[in-house]
Amino acid sequence: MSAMLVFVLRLLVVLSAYAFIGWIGYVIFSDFKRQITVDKKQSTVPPIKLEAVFNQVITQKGFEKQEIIIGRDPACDFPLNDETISLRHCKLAYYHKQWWAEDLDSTNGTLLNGIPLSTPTVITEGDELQFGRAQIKIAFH
Amino acid sequence: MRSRLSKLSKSKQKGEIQQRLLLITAFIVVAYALVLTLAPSIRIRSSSGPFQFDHWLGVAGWGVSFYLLHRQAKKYLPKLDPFLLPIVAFLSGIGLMTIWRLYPNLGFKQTIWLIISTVVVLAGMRYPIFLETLHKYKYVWLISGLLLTALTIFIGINPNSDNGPTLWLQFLGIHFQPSELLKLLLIVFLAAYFTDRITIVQGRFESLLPTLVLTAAALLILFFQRDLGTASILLLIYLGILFTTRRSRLILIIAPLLMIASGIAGYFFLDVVRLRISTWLSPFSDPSGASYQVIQSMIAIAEGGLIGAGPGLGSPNLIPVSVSDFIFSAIAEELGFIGTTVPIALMIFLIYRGIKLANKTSNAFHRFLTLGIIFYFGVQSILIIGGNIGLLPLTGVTLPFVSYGGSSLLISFIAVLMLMTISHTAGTSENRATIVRRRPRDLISGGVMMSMLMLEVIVTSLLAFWFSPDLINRTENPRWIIDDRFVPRGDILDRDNQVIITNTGAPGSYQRASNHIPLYTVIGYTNSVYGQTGLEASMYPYLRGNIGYPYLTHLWQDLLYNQPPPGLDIRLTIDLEMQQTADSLLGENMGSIIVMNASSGEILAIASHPYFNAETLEAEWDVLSTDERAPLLNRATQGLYPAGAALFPFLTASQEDTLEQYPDPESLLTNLNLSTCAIRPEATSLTWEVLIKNGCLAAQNDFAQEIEAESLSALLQNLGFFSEPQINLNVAQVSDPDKTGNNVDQLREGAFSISPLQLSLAASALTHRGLVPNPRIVNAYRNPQNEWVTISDSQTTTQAFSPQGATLLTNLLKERDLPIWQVTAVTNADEENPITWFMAGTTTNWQAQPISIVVVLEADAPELAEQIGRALFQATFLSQD
Repeated sequence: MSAMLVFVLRLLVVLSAYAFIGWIGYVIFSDFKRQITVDKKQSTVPPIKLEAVFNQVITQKGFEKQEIIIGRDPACDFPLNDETISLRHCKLAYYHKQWWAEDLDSTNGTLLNGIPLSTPTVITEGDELQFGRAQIKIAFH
Repeated sequence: MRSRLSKLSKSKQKGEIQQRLLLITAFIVVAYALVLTLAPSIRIRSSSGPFQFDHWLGVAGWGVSFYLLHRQAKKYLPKLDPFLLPIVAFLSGIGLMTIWRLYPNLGFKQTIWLIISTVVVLAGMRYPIFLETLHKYKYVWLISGLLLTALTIFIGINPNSDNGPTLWLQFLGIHFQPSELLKLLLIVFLAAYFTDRITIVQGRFESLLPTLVLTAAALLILFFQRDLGTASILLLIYLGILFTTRRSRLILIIAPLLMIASGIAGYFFLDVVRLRISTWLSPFSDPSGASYQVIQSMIAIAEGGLIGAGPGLGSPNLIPVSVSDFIFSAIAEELGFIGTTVPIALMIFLIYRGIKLANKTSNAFHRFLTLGIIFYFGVQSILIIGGNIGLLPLTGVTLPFVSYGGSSLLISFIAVLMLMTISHTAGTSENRATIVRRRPRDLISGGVMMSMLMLEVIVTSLLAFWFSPDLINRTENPRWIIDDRFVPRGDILDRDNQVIITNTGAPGSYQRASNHIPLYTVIGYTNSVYGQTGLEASMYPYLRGNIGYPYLTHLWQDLLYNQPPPGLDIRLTIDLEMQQTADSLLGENMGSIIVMNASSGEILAIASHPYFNAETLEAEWDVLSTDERAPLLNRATQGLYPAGAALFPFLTASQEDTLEQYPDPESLLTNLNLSTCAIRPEATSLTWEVLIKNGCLAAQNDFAQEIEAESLSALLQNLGFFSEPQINLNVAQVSDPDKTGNNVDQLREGAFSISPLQLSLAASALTHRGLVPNPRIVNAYRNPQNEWVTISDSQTTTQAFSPQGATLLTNLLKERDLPIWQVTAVTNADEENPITWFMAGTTTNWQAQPISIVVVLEADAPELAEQIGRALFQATFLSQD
């Protein structure tokens, strides 16, 4: 009789241990799912067009990626060759369904519509960024 | 206002998740404890006890601790990760119960340590600022940790053994292992260091120098103290943190190189490392020595199977250091594969939550600290579980939260306190504007650890299922000895159902008791150290109930009791009265007797002297095993003696025509050296009868010249002298026939030897129509329905010579006073070890069952042998009349 009781208890231990794991597993699974949908949303980055006015020369370039680095370094996504611009000067990133501009500790700083950029800030159509002597106009399609 | 409300409810929700998970855990721990209480009574299948209650002290300590932790966490850290505390509660609950189950005194100590750890964590929850203090004085903390560890070199002690490594410090009667603390302090230091330096000199080697120097110092101390497990963990944690904090790719090359280099260095300079690595590579080469621990651990996992023996119902105590290094295997044996997946899964979750937290937190120090702690838990679990299942070389480290060890438990609790504090801070932090960086290296390192743990689940399942039968049946698995104490083995009865051997004692301490001690050479002994012999070994499946029960009974007994069903009785062909007569006749003489039913091959009596008493085997083992007279040997089946002139009747029986052609032996044989006879006959009246009966070797050899070489070897073959008799007893390895020489060479002493059993089978052929029977000693078993079932043997008998030849010989050799024929022979008469053979059988006048008897004496004593043999016949005839 007590052997049966013990057997049932053992089964209960196993079942509840698995309920325990299952619960945590479920939470992690739904975490993953959420993460994946977030990733999906983030992966559909709206195209952005940058129009740089620099030494009276207008350069235009469109992007469809999540992160754009602007700087003097030719390896940057949008290179601008001028000594007033740092190697890696500024970053534009799409996050939380919005485009953000972030200054990468540049020497001369970044101005957004004339105001120095200190924290990551949301940018919209028609905004103007200024790096040293260069100016960039933001346009979405 | 709305967002504030939702946040409030979110933290409330977290508290509820934590509470529910903790309740499930509490239920599991209580159910486990309840099983443990009932287990002792189930093992002996009694419903009225004994019961075990000590461990409820542990349950109480555990329950109060986690209730308080839960309450305080809700109060002071409402936004903490709700999974951390339940995971820790589960791991430490199962660990604590397993420790109580293995060694109650250690369970008590561990409960005290759990309470101490809880108090420390409760205090820490009130002052989350302690993290900043750790950060600020990083050098002070690490250096004091190093000094404490270094102190063990001078005043360290080992509480467990006198000559083990001295890794502990004693303070107010409490033993503490500073190297555990050192692990955490190094993590704190590295996290703080990289937080402070990361922005200044990115990717420069010089910036690593302080961490290299301090880590190397820690490693040196640990190497010096032979604490290699902790040293390897420190090294892995260091490499892990470097990997996740630095952007340089150099670490990807340096880390594996460094690990391989230290492994090779260890292999060549440290014996321990060499031993561990060689046992890891070939665990089955030295199962009783170097790899004893690992093999016992694997066997325990295999014994556990799917759902395990049940708490308190297995034998995990058989694993060495089951309470700390091998607690994983101990859990595997009693909770099964299912039970082991739980701690591994929880560790995977812990790593996952940690990586997530590291990704979420905005504070660099917190991030590095979280990663370091995750490495600490992950690496340690991977190493020790891998060591337990033979996947990795064994490192003597603890399984976090589960293993016995106060220092380890305390430090693990403090580490979790840090995680809880960090997760609370990360949850409160409002600074969400920072763009969250993707950190692939965190994910990679977490993923590597999680996949290692999953690999370990797979390997565990292989041990528990695929390799399980092989492992369980290994000779190193002593669990059947324990089953023998709890489950009655079958009795062994004689042919009239008189008990020869049975069980005495109560369940839990069953022992064998014999009614006829001299039969132990046949029955055999059962001993945990020396193994099993004789019928106990060969009839194991019946006596242990492995055969005869339906599959469901086995399954049910295994599930409910983790024991085989009661053993089945077996009935032998032995006649206990005749056996007693044989033993008393043989007395103090060294030798052996076999009485056999000549037509069926059933052994009626089988004696071998000197003998032993299995009940006092352990005490007398040294004397018995070194005794030159070999009392442990069953001479009747395992003794090999030169046959000498005992073959004469068989040679003549196969050549009946020659015998009829030459009624006078002197007309055929030229060399009749009568001094080679066992009993010297009168030279005047030489007949075939006299020469054969008295074992005249010269005459036999002369006669053998007359036989064709091929028919001689065929005769010896058919008599079964070159094949082992098929019987449920250990038999001697027989020699191969020597076919190169002539007939005399074939028969010469030393060319081949035979056991008394073989000769008795040949004698049966002479008695019974030239047919060599198959020997039988086990007749039947009693099935669970209490019916006797004959154990059949399907072998056929062999015709050694013609029935006419047999009749001719038995008539020739017939005695005047008894209905028998008889032959006496002595071999090695002039040498050191003379052997006397006496062989006899009933003649055709005998109307009842034909009987053959063989007596062997390890002395030159033909008269004594004859006397014993004839007395046995008289007893036989009396009993058969």
